[in-house]
Amino acid sequence: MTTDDDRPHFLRRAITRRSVLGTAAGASVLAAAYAAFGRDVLDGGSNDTSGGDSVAPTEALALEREAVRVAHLLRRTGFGVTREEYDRYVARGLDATIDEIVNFGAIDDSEAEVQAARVAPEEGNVGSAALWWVVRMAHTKRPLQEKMTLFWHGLLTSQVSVVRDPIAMADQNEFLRKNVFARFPDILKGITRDRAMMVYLDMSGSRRTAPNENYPRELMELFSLGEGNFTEQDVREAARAFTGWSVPRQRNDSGRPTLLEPVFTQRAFDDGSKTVLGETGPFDADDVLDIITKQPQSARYIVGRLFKFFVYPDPTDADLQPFVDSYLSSGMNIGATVEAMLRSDVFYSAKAYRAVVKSPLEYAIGAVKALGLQTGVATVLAARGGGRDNAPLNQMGQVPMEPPNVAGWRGGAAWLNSSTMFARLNFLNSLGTPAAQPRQAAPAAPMPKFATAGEAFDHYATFLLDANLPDAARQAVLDYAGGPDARLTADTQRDLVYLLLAMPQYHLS
Amino acid sequence: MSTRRDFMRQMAVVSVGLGVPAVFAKATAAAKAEASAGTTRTLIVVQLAGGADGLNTVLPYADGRYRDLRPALAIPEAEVLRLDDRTGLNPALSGIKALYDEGKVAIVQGVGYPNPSFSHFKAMDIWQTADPEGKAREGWLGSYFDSLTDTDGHPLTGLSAGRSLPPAFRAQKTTVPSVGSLDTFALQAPAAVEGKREASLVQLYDAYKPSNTPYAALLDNTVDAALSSSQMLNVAHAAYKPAVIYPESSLASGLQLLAELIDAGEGSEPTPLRVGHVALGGFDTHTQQAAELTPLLTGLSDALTAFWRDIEAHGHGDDVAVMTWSEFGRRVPENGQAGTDHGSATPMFLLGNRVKGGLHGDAPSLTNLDNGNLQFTVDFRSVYAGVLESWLEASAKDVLGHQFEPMDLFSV
Repeated sequence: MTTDDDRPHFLRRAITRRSVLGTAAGASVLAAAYAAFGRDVLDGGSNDTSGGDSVAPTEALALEREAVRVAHLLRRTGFGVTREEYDRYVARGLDATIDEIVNFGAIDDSEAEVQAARVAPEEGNVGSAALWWVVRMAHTKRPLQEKMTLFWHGLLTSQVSVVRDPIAMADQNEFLRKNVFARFPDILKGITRDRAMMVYLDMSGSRRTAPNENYPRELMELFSLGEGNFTEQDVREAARAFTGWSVPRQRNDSGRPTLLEPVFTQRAFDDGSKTVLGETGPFDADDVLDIITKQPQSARYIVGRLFKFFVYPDPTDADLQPFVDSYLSSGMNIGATVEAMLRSDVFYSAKAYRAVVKSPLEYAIGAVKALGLQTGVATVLAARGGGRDNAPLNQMGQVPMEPPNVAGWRGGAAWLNSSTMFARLNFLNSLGTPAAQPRQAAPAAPMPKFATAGEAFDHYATFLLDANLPDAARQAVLDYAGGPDARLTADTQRDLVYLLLAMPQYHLS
Repeated sequence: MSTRRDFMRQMAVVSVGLGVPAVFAKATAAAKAEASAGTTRTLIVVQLAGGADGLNTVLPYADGRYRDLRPALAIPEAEVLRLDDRTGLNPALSGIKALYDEGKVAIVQGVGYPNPSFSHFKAMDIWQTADPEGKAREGWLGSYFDSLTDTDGHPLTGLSAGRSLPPAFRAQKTTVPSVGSLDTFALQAPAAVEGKREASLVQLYDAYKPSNTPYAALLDNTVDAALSSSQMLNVAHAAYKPAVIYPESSLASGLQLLAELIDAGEGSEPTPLRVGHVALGGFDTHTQQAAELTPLLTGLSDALTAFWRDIEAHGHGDDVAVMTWSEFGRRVPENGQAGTDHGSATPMFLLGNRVKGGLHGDAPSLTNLDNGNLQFTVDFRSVYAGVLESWLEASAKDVLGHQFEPMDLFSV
């Protein structure tokens, strides 16, 4: 192994970060991958993802092209695009695209609603809410609104397997959708009143005589402040303020519970004085939420979560500060904060390029849209025998309405392991089979036909991969097809698209 | 990337049932070459996720305080499976009790650490990295894997039987595969193009090497580990005949997969598997605890019993040990919804023919509580040290970063 001294100066940092060991799993690149968990790097000392990079990041040079900046924005704010959508946005240019995406309220999304209504959530069918939402994601013309709904669902979590009422989960989802860009304190107040949430975190039935700690703990730790920014005593005191609520249940025809609207009983509420985060008073739930969101740490927490979701996984305090400022000066408005991020230089910086691992929903819906199979999305994402376990999104690790636990989905490197890798690649394989073809009344756009492998490659690589692949990758795919000028059979075209979607870069956003 | 290409060539010539398959030959040859003690032993780690209520699992049935503090939840004395005149097991654990009576179960009581965390996620991290300060990045088992001098050619040194990689396995050098279910743990392709596609994929992942993205190496290693371990696991599965009928649960299926891999080394060749991991979730019993905990403990007991009988029937009873852990126990006084809030000290179970059966450590005091929580009597890192030193024959100090008094849990 060459030492630093042997290398030209401009390459030295690269070697330090990529010290090759054993099975060539470079320690520091793995370390940076774990940084995506929100951790410091393994090799202590230098945080290799902070500050500038003395080596020109060749992959991110593509950001010089406006079309690539547009594509990067589309990836982060949606679930993938068709070639037609890509062309339209690129033609409009970056600024007009940002305007359209951010002002989603001006866009008619009734088609998505109509499609989703065909698979509306049903009483007693616990998985039906997930399917309804996936169909919506695949058809929406307001991708940022859906992406933000997913962001909130992964932060202010509930699980349908615990709540057991898919209609209640769908209502929670609608609340999030309508309030994606509202003020953070108002979003917290609304979710605290949500009947699915009350059941999920045991607020329902929490009484003055024995307050339940589950909601205030997870609220502070995961929803609003972060671990280390509150004490056990704060949890116990706050629990008293969240007493008095209960969610009545009614057995419906399916034998499962229907959750009714929450009921507040004054008698069961602890109206005594509490001390939470240094403030004292006869607080109720809304009061505690106001106290929490006034903490400076609350601003850093929510802005940090948004930044990690939209920009890159390991921001420094300096990275976050401008957006904390936007958040506070706008009156804790989430829409203003997100818009500031999407218009910022850091969003289009080299460090942000391909810095996020696509979640299973982005990956799967993106592949579906790439192939024009949206109208069949319910079919292709359904389980193939063996029950729900075999459903592609389950195997990839992300079933909407069912995060693995109250912390939501960890994301980043956690999306990628041997099992989920097979799940992703095998899902792509299934899209090439006849079973994947939509059987709905409205015909999908026919698969484009190409004369040669080179044409097909360029078509897909442009809107799926920014036409930004190493020469060796293009070579490998064209070799498979028999060369750039090889005529394509249907099968070979299918395989070529498979290989493009199976590219390592395609896992990244 | 020669390692992977070698494997690719070997995979093409694997023939099941004719001696040791080629993919294992390389692994076992490499295993022999290891400078560290050529242990043939396997550790199976079973995580009880959510904070399992230790006090209703291993309970002080004769202690009046127990019943005073848990009027609704205390297990009736007549139902308890007695271990001695003070301590007994939850009645759902009949299978474990039978193994205990055979001397194969060690129960370490009151396990915890100073200044315990009541956050699921922080507490799980602490147990998985063995670092209550929250600074360590690698998992304790990941550190163990990295300490093995030769991991090249060991795609299955560790295996997570489940769809995610436990942080305990996070390592600098070693990539551990996670297997959700074996029937989908293979690259699917139309038969006519299978080999060609796989070869192209390998080339594409190989070709992606930008110097500043954290993911290129991760993607490459993941595909590597997936393809090579898939072959090994499917061969092991095809060759295996379980000696028991495993219960229908994901815990049992995960344990069965691990049993298959344990058996995969042939004759005197060491098994490729050093550490397996499987998790059982659902233990966060804030409300209606009895209705939730009983089926969980029954499932745990039944799955472990089936697994153990299968392991013994295949002649591996002396070479396998199981260890359970949970991120914390639960609050001693029950809450107003027939449940319990997050707590602290908790018992750990070890199972194996070479385990020193019986109760270890001291039952935590019910009179000297800390704000309703049990005070620990055994530091969990002592348990890890005992497992590392005696069972895995590794240096606990190197792996854990500090010296901890190893608990004496094995007769080896």
